[in-house]
Amino acid sequence: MHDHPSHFCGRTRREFLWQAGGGFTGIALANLLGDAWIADQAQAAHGLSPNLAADPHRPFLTHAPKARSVIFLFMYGGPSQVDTFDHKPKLYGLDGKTIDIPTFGRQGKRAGGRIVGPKWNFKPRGQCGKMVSDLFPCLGECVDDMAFLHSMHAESPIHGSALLNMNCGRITSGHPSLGSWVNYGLGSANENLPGYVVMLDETGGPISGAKNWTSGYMPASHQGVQLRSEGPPILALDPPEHLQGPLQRELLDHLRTENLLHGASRSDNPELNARINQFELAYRMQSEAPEAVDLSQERQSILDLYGIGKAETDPFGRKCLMARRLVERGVRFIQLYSGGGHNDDNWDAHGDLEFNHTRHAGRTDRPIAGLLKDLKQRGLLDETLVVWGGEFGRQPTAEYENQTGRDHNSWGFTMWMAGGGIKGGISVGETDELGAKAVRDRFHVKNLHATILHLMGMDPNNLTYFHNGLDESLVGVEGAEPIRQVLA
Amino acid sequence: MRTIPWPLLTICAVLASWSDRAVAVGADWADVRPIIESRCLPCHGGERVQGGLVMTDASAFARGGDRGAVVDRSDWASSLLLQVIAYDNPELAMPPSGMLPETERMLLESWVLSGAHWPKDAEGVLAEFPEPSPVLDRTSDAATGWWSYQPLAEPKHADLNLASPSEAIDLLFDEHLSALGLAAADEASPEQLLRRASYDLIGLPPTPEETDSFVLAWRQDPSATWAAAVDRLLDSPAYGEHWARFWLDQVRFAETNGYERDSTKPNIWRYRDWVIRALNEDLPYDAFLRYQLAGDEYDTLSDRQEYPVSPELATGYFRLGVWDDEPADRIQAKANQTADIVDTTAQLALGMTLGCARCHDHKADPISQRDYFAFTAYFNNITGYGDNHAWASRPESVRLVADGHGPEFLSAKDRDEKVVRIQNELIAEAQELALPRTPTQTLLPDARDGGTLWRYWDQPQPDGVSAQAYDDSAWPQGRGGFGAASTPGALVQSPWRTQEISLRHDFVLRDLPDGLVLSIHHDEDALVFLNGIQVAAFDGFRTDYIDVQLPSSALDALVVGSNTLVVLCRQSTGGQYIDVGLRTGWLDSSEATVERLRSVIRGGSAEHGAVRSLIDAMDRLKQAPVAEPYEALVVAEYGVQSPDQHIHLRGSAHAEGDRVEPAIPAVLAWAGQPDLDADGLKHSSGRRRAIAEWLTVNAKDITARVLANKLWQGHFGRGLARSSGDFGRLGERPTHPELLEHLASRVLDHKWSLKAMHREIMMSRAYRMSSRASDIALATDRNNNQLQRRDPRRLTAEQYRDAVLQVSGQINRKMFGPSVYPEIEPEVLATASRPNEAWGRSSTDEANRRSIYVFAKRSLRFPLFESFDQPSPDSACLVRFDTNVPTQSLLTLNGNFVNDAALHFSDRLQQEASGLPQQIERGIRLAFGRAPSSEEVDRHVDFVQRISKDFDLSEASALLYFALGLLNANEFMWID
Repeated sequence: MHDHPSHFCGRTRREFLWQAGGGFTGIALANLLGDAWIADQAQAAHGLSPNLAADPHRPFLTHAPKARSVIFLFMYGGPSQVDTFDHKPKLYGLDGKTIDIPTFGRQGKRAGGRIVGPKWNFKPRGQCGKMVSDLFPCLGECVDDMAFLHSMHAESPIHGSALLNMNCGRITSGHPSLGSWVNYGLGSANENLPGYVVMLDETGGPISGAKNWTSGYMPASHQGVQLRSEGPPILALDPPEHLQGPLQRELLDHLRTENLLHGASRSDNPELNARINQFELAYRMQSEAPEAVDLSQERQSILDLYGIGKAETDPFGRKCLMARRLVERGVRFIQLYSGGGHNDDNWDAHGDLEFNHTRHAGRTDRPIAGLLKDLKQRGLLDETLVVWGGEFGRQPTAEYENQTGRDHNSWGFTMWMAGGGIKGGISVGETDELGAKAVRDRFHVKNLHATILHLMGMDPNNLTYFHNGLDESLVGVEGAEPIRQVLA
Repeated sequence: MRTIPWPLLTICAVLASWSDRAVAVGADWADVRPIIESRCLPCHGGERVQGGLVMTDASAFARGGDRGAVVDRSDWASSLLLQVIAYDNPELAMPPSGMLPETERMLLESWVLSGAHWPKDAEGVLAEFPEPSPVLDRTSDAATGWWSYQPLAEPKHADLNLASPSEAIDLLFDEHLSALGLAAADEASPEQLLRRASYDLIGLPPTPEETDSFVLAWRQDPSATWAAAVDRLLDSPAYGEHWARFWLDQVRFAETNGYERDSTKPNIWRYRDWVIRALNEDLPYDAFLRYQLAGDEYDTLSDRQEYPVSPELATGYFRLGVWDDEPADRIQAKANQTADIVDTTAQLALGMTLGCARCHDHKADPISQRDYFAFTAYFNNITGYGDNHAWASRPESVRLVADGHGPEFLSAKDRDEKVVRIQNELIAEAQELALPRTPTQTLLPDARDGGTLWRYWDQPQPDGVSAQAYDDSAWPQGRGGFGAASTPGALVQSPWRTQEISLRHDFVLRDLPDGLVLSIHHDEDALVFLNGIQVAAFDGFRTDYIDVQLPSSALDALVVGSNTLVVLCRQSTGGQYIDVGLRTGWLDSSEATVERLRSVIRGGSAEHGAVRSLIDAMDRLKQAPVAEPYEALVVAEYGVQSPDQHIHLRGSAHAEGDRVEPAIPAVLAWAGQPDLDADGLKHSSGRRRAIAEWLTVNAKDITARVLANKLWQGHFGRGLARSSGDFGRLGERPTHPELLEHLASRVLDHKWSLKAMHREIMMSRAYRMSSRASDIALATDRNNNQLQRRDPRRLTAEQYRDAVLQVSGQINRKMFGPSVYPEIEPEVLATASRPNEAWGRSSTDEANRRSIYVFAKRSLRFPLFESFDQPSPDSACLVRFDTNVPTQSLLTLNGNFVNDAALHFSDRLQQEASGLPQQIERGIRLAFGRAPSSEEVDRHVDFVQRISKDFDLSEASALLYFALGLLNANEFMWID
C-alpha cells in the first residue's frame, strides 16, 4: 500500500467535481441513487478521495467489462453439492456406512459419520456431458453455458456469518455487500432505477435481514433496494391515496417554486439544487419502476418459459423475469433469494433431505433455466453474469442418527456461473471423492468475488474504499485473484 | 498425532511399498527442489510472503513463519509441513489451490521424514529474498513529530490572555482569515441564529413563541439576549438527548447483538440514559470517559465522589458491539470482540486508527503491531459477551445496578402488583377464548419416567459449553438424575460428587410445539439453555420436582431438526442433585396461561386486540425502571489477574507471537506509562482504570484536543481537523491549527466542562457568522476550508423526525426508559427472517417520542434513519456522511410517517389560527422559525385555493398539501 496523496491533484473533491462535471448538480442529476458521492467517498473520513479515475461516473473501471449486470441467484440455506452438480458415484454404495471423515458444521467438528448416499441419479447433459442430478432437468439443458466451481470453500459453516461471508466478503459484520461495491465502483446506468436490487423469498428474508445487502461503512445510498414482486415494488413508491396523479404534480411544482426561491440567495450550496432534482427523479421513478417490473407486457410463451402461472414455479419465475427486465434497464446488480426464514423454508436440509431439496429445486429449476434461455435468445446473456449458489454446501454424512438430512459444510461446495465473460460447459476444481472438502484448485469466496469484479471491468485488488484509516476492499488486504479457468 | 483422512487411505495403501522405500532412503533435495519452487515459492518467497514464511533458502526455511518452524526436528513426523500438505484441516491446507499430486506429496513427506536436508550453498538458494519494501521508519522525526502526537503547543499569541474567552477564538479566527485575504462573513439574522442554536444544542427547532421573544429582546441587547438563549438551551433536558446521539454514533450503540439471532442486549437502554443524564448534568468529560472505561473500578473506591449518575452503568460501553453467539471459531471471535473495543476506544478517545496495526505494523502512522497488542493488554481481561452465565467468583455482566433516580420510579412491589392485576385480566380473557387442550408429548423424560441419557461433565464448566455447536463427544454418558443418594427427593441414576456439572442432550423435533414445559429438581443454582439461549434460571436448592412453563424465547430458540438442551448446575455444600425433563404442552398456572396467550397472538392476527394490548402493557411494566437496583448490562472481568497478552501474528489469535506487557503506544511515551494499581479491587485487574487515568491525566493534552475538535464539529458540522476519528497521517490536518490548540487548552481550563465549552464557542462571532459566501471566498475557497462563512447543515435523520413530530404537534417529550417502536412498513418487516417477531409495538403516544429512544436493532434499522444517513452501528462513526438521493424524497413525499404528520400539522394550524393566511403564517413560523413575507403568504394562499378549486377540496383539506410541502421544503431540511 502506498501513502495516500494528501490532495487529489491539489484540488478538493468539490473543486474536482466542479471542474470535471460542470458542477455538482450536473453529476448529482446524472447519477440516481448516489454516485455523486463516489468522487466524494472519503470526505467523511478525510475529505479527499485518492481513487478518482478519469471518468467520475465509473471511477474504478480499469478494463473493458465483459458483464454489464450481475444476477446473483442466492440459494439460501446451502444446497447439497453431492445431490445437485458434484457427482460422486462412490457415495451411492456407501449409503448407511459409517466412516471416518472429518466434517465441520452446525454440530461442530466431527471425526466421521454415516454416509447418506445421494438421493438422486445423475445423467450426462448437454454437449459437454456434464453430470447433473435429476433435481434439475431444465437446468440440465443449459449446462453448455455454465461453468461449475466444485471447489468453493468459505470461512464459516454457520448461516449468519456465512451469509455475511458470501455477501460482504467477511464473517464479521459491518462491511459493504458485493452489490454495494459494484455500484460504488461503476455507478448506476439508469437514473430512474436503483443500481442494486434485492428480491426476497415470499417466506421472509434471510437471517440477519438487511445486513446481507448493507452498504456497511459506505454511504447509505449504496445499499441494496428491496424490490417486491407484489404491490408497489419500492418502499413509499406509491403516493398515498390523497396524493395521486395531478395533485401530487401540483404539490411538486409548488414545492419546486418555493425551493428555488429559497435557493436563489444560497447558490453556493449545491446540495439544495440537487435535492430539488431528487424530487423530480423520485417522481419519475414512480412510473418507471412499476413499468420495469410489470410482467403484463410479456408474451404468454415467455411467461411459460419461466414457469409463471404454475403454482410451484410462479413466485421464483416472476422474480427471474423481473430480473431480466431490470437487466434490460441497466440495473447493475440484482440478487434473488430462493428460500427465506428458517428451517425447511430454505435449502437448509437438516431433517429430510429429499423433501427439502425436491421442494426448492422444484421451485427454481424451470425459472432459472427460463432466465438463462431468455437472456440468451435476446443476446443479453453475453453481457449478463449469472451466479448460482448458497452460503455453503452440505456434508456427505448424516447429521442425525436416523434421517437423511445433512449438516452445513463450508469446506467444499459447488457454485456455478454463466453468461457475461464465462466459458460455458466446463467444471473447475474438485472435492475429494466423497464431496466433503475441496482438494483441487480450491476457490475461496474471495476468488468468486474477484471474478465477478473482474468481469465487471474492475481490478478486485484496487477497488478500495478509505475507512477508519484503512483502504478497505471487498477481497481484503491480502487480495484475491479471479478464477481464470472460467474466463472466456 | 496426525490422523490419515479417509480419502488418503486408498492412496497410501497403493503406494505403501514405494513410500517405505522413500522413507528408508530419503528423497533427495534434487527431487523436492522443483516441487518447492513450483508449489511453495509463489507465496513464500519471490514476490509475495504469506504467513510470514519465506522458503527461498535454507536459513529462511529454518526460521519458519508466523506459525513457527515448518519442520519439527525432534519429531519429524509431526512437522507442520506434513500436516498442511496432508490437507487434514482445510483451514490449514497447502497449497491453497488444491492438494498436491500423490507423488509430490510422498516425495516431500519422505524428504521431511529423512531430515529435511536443505543445502546451505548456492544449490539451496531458490530466489533472492526480496528486500522488504520501504516502510515508514517509526522512529523518524517525521513520524513521531506528527502534530497530533505532541503535547499542546504553547500559545504564540500574547494577546490571548487579555481577551475575553470568546474574543480569543475570534482573534485567532480573524488572524487566520486575514492572512488569506479573507474576511469573516457577517452575522446571521437573529431568527437564523436562534434556529441554528436550537438545532445545535437540543436538536429541535425553536417554537414561534421562543423566536418572537428572542427577536424582540435582541433589538434591545443582542449579546445579553444571545447569552441568555444559549444558557436556556444548555439547561434544557433536550440538550443531553441531542448530544448523546453524537456519542452513540462513536460508540456504535445498538440494542441487539447482530448475527443469526440478533438477540436483544438486556436493558442496554440504561447506558443510553446514562449518557443523556451525564451530559445534562455536565459531568466533566474526564469523568465521562473514566466511568465508561472503568466505572466499576472507580465505584469500589472508598472515597466515593458525589455522582450525578452511576459510574457502573457507564461501563455498558463495553457491551455495545456486535457479538456472534455461534461463531465458527470461538478463539478468534473472542479476540475480535476485544479488538472491537480496543479500536473503538483508541479512535474515540485518542483519534487514532489503532486497528490498522492489528495485523501488521501501521502503514502510515508510527504504531507497531507490538504497540497494538500492548494496548490490548489493558482490555483483554474483560469477559466475553456470552460468558456472563458461568459461575466463577466474579460478577456477571448483567447485574443489579441502581441509577440514583430510584424515587422517580415504582417500587418493585407496586410493579409486581400491577403485573398480577394484568395477569388476572389476561386469565379472564383466556377463559373466554376457551383455548383447546393441546396434547402433551414427552421430549426428555426425567428420572421419574426413566430419565434421559445425557452427556455430562462434572469438572468446572468449559468455555462455550452452552452453545449448540460445542463438541461434547468426549464426555461420558449417564442417565439422569445425577447426584448423591442422600439428597431429599432425589432419584439418583448416575453419581455426581463434584461442585459443578454440565449436562447436554440433543433431541430431534419434526414440528415446532407451541408450548414447552420443563420439569426440574436441582441443587443450589441451575441454568437451562436451549440451542445456546438461556431459557430458565433457578436459584437455591429444591427438595422435589417442579414444572415450569418456559417463556416464548424458548420457543423461538427451537428449530425443526436437532436441538440441544444444556443444563448447568452447581452445589457448594450438602448433597448434589440435578435432573431435568422436557415436554410439550401447557401448565395450568397463570404465568403459563399468559405465555400461551402470547403464543396465540404471535401469528400477528388482528383479532386478539385486547389480549395484545394487555400483554404489551404487562411487558412494558416488566421492562420499566423500578426504585430498587435492577438489571443492567455492564462490564465484568475474569478476575484480578489479567491473562498474558501475546502479539497475534497477522491478527490471528491462533498464531501467537511474543508476549507483551501492557503499555501505551511508544509514540505517546512522553506522557508516561499508566500506573497499574489494583489496590482495593476484588473482581478486576485495575487495568481499565489505569488507562482511563492515563487518558485523562497523563495524556490529557491529546484527549482534550480530540474532544475540542469534536465539539467544534458538533457546532460547525465539521471538525477543525475534518477527520475526527483519524488524526494520523492518513487523516486531515487541521485547517486552523492554532485555534484547535487554543480550544484544547480551554477544555483543560474549564476542567473538562462541555457546557462551558459550548458557551464559549457559541459566544464567538465565528459561530454567529451567516452562511452567505462572499464572492472572493467563493472564488478562492469554494469548499469553505477556511471557514470564511458558516457551512449550511442538513438536518440529521433524528433531527428531521423530531422536528416533524414537534411542528406537527405530535411529539412526546417523555425522557428515558426502554426503547419504543414507531411503526415500520410491513414490506420492510418482510425482509426479516422472522417478520412477525422482528419489531415491537408501541402506542401512538410512545411511538411519538424523540428519535434517541427508538429501538436500535442491528438487523432491522428504522427505514427513515437509515435513509437519512444514520450510520450502521457495527463500527464507530465519528463523522456522518450525508447523501442526497431520490429514495429519501419518496419517503418524505409518499411515506406514511410524513403524510400522517402533515395531517396533524394542518389540523394544528386550523386549531391555532383562523383564516387561511393566518394558518399559513403560523405554519411557516413553526416550520422555518421565522416570519413569512406577505408575498410568500400570498403564494401559499394561491396554491391552497387553486388545488381546493381544481380538485374539489375544502380549503381545510387542501391545507394538508401546504403542510406536506413545508415538511418537504429545503428550508425545513437545511439550517443556515
